[in-house]
Amino acid sequence: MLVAGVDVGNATTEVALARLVPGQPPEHLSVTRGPTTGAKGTAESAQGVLDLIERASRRLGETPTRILLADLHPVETGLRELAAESEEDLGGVGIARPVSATPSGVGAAAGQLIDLAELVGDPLPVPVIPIVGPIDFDAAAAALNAARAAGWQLVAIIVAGDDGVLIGNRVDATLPIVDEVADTDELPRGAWAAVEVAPLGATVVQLADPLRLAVLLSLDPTRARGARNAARALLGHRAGIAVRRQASGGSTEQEQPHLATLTDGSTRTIDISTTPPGVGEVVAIEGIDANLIDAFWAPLPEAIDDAALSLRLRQRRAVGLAVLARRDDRALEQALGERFSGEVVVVAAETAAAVAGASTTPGAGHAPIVIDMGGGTVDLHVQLDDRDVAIATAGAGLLVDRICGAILGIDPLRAEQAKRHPSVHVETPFILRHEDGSRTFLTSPAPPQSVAHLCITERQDGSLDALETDLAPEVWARLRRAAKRTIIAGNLRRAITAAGGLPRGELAVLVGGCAEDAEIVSEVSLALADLDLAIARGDVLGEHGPRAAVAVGLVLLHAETL
Amino acid sequence: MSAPAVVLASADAGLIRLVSAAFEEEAVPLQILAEPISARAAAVRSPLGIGLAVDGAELVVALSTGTDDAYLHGPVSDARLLGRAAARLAARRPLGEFAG
Repeated sequence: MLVAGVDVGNATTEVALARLVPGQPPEHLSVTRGPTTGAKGTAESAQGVLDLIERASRRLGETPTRILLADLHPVETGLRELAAESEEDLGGVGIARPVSATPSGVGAAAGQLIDLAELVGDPLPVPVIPIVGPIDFDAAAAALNAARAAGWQLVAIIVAGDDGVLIGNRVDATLPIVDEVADTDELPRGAWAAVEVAPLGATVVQLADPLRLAVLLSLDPTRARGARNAARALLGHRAGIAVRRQASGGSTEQEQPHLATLTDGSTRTIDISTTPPGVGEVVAIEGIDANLIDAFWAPLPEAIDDAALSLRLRQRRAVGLAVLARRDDRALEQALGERFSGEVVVVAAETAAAVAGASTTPGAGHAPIVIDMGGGTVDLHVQLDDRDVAIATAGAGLLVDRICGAILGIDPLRAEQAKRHPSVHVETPFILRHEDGSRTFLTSPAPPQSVAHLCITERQDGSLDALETDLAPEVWARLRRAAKRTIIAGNLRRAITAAGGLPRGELAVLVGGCAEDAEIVSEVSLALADLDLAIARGDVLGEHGPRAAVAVGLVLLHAETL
Repeated sequence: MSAPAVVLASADAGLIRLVSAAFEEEAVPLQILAEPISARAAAVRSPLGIGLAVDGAELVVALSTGTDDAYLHGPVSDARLLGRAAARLAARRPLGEFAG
């Protein structure tokens, strides 16, 4: 009899085909893998199962007569990025953070914003900051020099084009000039503003200090405290512009807090300063209509040794949230039953299948503890003499994708590649710098769009995916590992606590897609070092690596019953 | 010729002004050769191994090593942006527009 062991995960569906003859060990024929179609456990996810079975059957020239499923509690996982890039109340101070790679001059100055064309006639009695629109640099410099000669006090200049240094060289190379300022049209002419350019390699100091900013903008002490968000928003930037606005007469609209209700009836705000409680302790989350089993959230990681970067990440107030909810239907089984020509059999609990599959790892013997790190959940399966438990925790590979995507400013699909592959910095068309500081010399030049960019080495042919972020490879690598540690190792810790601990010296086998990631394996091993477990990566049937443990386990358990 | 500089081979005053402005903005030295040589030949003459020259209706940025093909190219009317990309290439900054 030809059977198909099927494991539908949040991200990946796996099918193990085998021939079963009563009284003989199963003949394992193939393991096939594809993306899960629709949400795990839904009727839509049946399509992916049937497609994989068809693909494997075509290769084999024979169709299975029985689908083997695990008896799982169908779960839904969801991900949300809360309050990403939220607008903060800047306390009546408008700010601009020009991208200018080449500002001119150095220092901070405050004055009245004025259009270049208005620098005619009698000079104003106050310092001014001219705004230069998209005109030729020689013409702009001539007009600025004429104004200076006429007695205008120019203290800084704001330039729309990439002409800061050119204008500085022709007017005054010491004046702070910020260029490449988008939307100069929107700067309010006549308003009081402050401009700062930091020395090369440094970041703004005066505009990033709320009291200095308040003094530069002549804010009264009551408004100075309100300027703290504007000051913080400018921190870490080479150049900045701050503009005094009319007092808004009250703060801008408050962000709605996301509240989680716990089993004891208390509530906990879901934000960057709170940590998720133990497994199963969240029973409800405002705005999420589901029967929750678990909820987990994580902020963007902190950049150790880099306060400015840490603040920049914190300011985004981004939180990745994963939830695990109980589904009451048996939609997958029903859909498979309707569309599959043979039988659909529920063979065993997922834990028993995972343990049976992981135990086929060469050298394992019996693997009583299986840690399944997948796309949506980290599952701990324990099958010991005194216990038989399965703990599922919300948040795994897909949540790591979200967090990595938020750090790099890319979509989760691209982030999935960034999570798995090392990065390089293209220093010159011929030199790549790796995450450990080592360098590679190229014999043919790297493409122009990758030069001076952080790139993901994702493709088989070695081509590079250039990112817009200004993170150095070693910094990104630390943030990436921190995300894996917080989410995967953190959730595993929660699962172990929920399982009442694990016996010392016992073998724990890592399976699932995340177990293919050497960084995750080392982060998990490090995080569990104090538990003194033998932590090994699964190699199902000695050839499939940490994949397909449940699918193969179902085949093995079903063979025993024949 | 040992000062580090990118070499522009051109005698066109308008083009020279635009490319020179781009290099001044990026604070990267540019040397002008009023000789009718290719961008590749200009790159070989550049201590930084980067050269620019007009080829037909295009401004070409070439490297002295690795490839005989243009590293960057575009219409002469975009001389300011191509000059900026060439200067940034020398300064190891992201090239911005005209990196494609």
